[in-house]
Amino acid sequence: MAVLIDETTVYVIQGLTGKEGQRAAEWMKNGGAKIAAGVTPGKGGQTVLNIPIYNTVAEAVAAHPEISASSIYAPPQFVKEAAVESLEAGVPFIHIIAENVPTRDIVEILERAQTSGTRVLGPSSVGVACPTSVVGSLGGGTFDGFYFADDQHPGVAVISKSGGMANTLVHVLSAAGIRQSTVIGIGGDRVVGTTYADILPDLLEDDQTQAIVILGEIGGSYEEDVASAVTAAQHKKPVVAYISGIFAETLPKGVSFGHAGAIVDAEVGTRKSKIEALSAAGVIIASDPQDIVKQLENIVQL
Amino acid sequence: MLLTEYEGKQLLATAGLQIPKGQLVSFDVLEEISFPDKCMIKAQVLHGNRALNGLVKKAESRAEAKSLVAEMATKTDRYGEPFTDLLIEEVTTFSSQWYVALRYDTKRRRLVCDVSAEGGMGMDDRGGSIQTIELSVLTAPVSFDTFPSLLPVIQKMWQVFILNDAVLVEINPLVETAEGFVCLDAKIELEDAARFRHPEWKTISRAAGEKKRSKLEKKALAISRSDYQGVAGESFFEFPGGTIGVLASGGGASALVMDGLLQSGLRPANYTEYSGNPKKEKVAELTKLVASLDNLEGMLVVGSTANFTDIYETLSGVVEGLLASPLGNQTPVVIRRGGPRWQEAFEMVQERLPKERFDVHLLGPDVPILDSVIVLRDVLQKKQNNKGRW
Repeated sequence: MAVLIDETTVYVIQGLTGKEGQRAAEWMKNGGAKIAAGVTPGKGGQTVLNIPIYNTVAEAVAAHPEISASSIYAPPQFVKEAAVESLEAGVPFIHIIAENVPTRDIVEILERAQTSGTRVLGPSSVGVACPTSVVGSLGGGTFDGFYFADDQHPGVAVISKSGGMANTLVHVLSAAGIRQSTVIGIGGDRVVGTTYADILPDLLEDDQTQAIVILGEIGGSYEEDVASAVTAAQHKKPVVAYISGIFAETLPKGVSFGHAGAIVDAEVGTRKSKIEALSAAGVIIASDPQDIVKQLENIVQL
Repeated sequence: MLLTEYEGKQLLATAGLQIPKGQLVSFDVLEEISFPDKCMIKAQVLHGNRALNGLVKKAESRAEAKSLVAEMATKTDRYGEPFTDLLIEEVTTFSSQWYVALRYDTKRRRLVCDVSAEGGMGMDDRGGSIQTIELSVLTAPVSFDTFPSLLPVIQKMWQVFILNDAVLVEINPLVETAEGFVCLDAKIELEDAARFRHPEWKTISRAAGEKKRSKLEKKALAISRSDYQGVAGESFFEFPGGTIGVLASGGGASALVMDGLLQSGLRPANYTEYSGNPKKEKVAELTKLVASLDNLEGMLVVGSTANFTDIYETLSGVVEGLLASPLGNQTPVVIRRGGPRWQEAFEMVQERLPKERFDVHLLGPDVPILDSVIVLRDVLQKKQNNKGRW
């Protein structure tokens, strides 16, 4: 059992004929993903990596009704159009990797997604990797660095704004002999479709997940929302969080650094406010990424 | 992109909102200005709390207006930057002041309207009076139950917000007069990411008062925007007095590395970042820029274990930039990277960087990111000790 995606997930890749789309699709196949179709307007009828290309998502879904997720590799100016196609075709899960998608476009996608009950991951999300499937480009085509959990051997779930930090932590955890149940990049934008707190209930119910690691940073309130979600949860599991931002807070207020969402306005979204809220909720705060391993070793039976 | 009060008010007026009669003037044409009997004199700078900083004044007569303007000409904005423009406006008589703002709420992930019947100066202290109402980006509001009389204003603000891809449209105060609602001050921020939809933004001249980009910051931005693939130098900060040239990769890892540098006592000369699989030419230009900073004692090239950035391609850029830089004399260069083709990339770096110019330390994905900072610190320490001995 996994969250967001599993071995039954069947993908359509929007933008499969492009360089980035093709590369991600190859990598996803390496990770066990089932890709039924690709979509690029005007290129219907072609095949890429032996995958049939359609002009629209509606055509792809008509030909492959088993499609249950879309992963979008369109440049930022075309992301909204692409996502709306998937929403209208009834695809229940949409992953968006592009950075620099205008906030108006993502908010419009989310408003429409609420109406249709669609789950959106991203924008600027590196994707998800779980023992039986992968979406996006986590791992960069090789899963050698991963040490996945299975039914007999549970592990930890990693949720990160940064894709690079998620991948880095995976290597560190594997080296320490700590398995991963699922690794999720939620993206570092101001407004994202799925937050840490949105995934938390799923992870608390997931048998393969023993503990949860949150990689956070300054700006916004998604880390603080974890604190409320942890407090409200019926079923408890240990949560370890690392929040960067000592340097970022030396910059003038309103300056974004690293990720678009890493902006501090007034006293909202500071490293201190996040750490205080999380500590109060019983979340264990790690002082740096290596410390995450030490903290986990104290609480997880390896 | 933050707009000045004047620029913001022009957008509001285009949507049919009322603004006071006024004119934008520069200090260099002051002789030609005809002041009204009573007027407001407002510096066009890009930060808030202008009145508290003496940058908004009320003149009771033409003579006072002239002397206030002369005084204003000697001032700088809050950041110490000079400014060039003033907005001279007629004085508006009003019965009540409101605060109204449209913005995106990160927590709700929706467009919201913040509204308070207690608008005006010092809003920071009256935050408790603000009510927040969710709006749709798909359809204009058709009702506003909180304060029904404000509906026409909110509808016009919504139009300005959506059509201009704003992330903030704030009117404070919005005042009620005998002629209806008038926008006395405006703060509007447009979203750079939506630039592709707005060719007209090219003509917005950036008024004085914005935290200015240094020459290097501008150069780095130009490198980053030289093509669409990835970023390299999109954000660039210079720290005079620093001795470590920094080339970070990945939004999350770069924050971690800078935290590590500060905690280890090393002083970064800059911060910049490349990511999203940029071409090697872009990385080479950015590397050259960083490696040409004054007083560098070492270079730190560090990133997370990349998911899709080609490490061979990007480190080729780093090598070319270093070779074209003035650095030499065994400058320590610590590189910590992992991701697609990292082993190949490390062999290439070893081969191409001459030992007499660079003291290269290569750390792979199995080495913690923060260890790169410690390695660099130790190498520099050793170099310092050797120097002392001679």
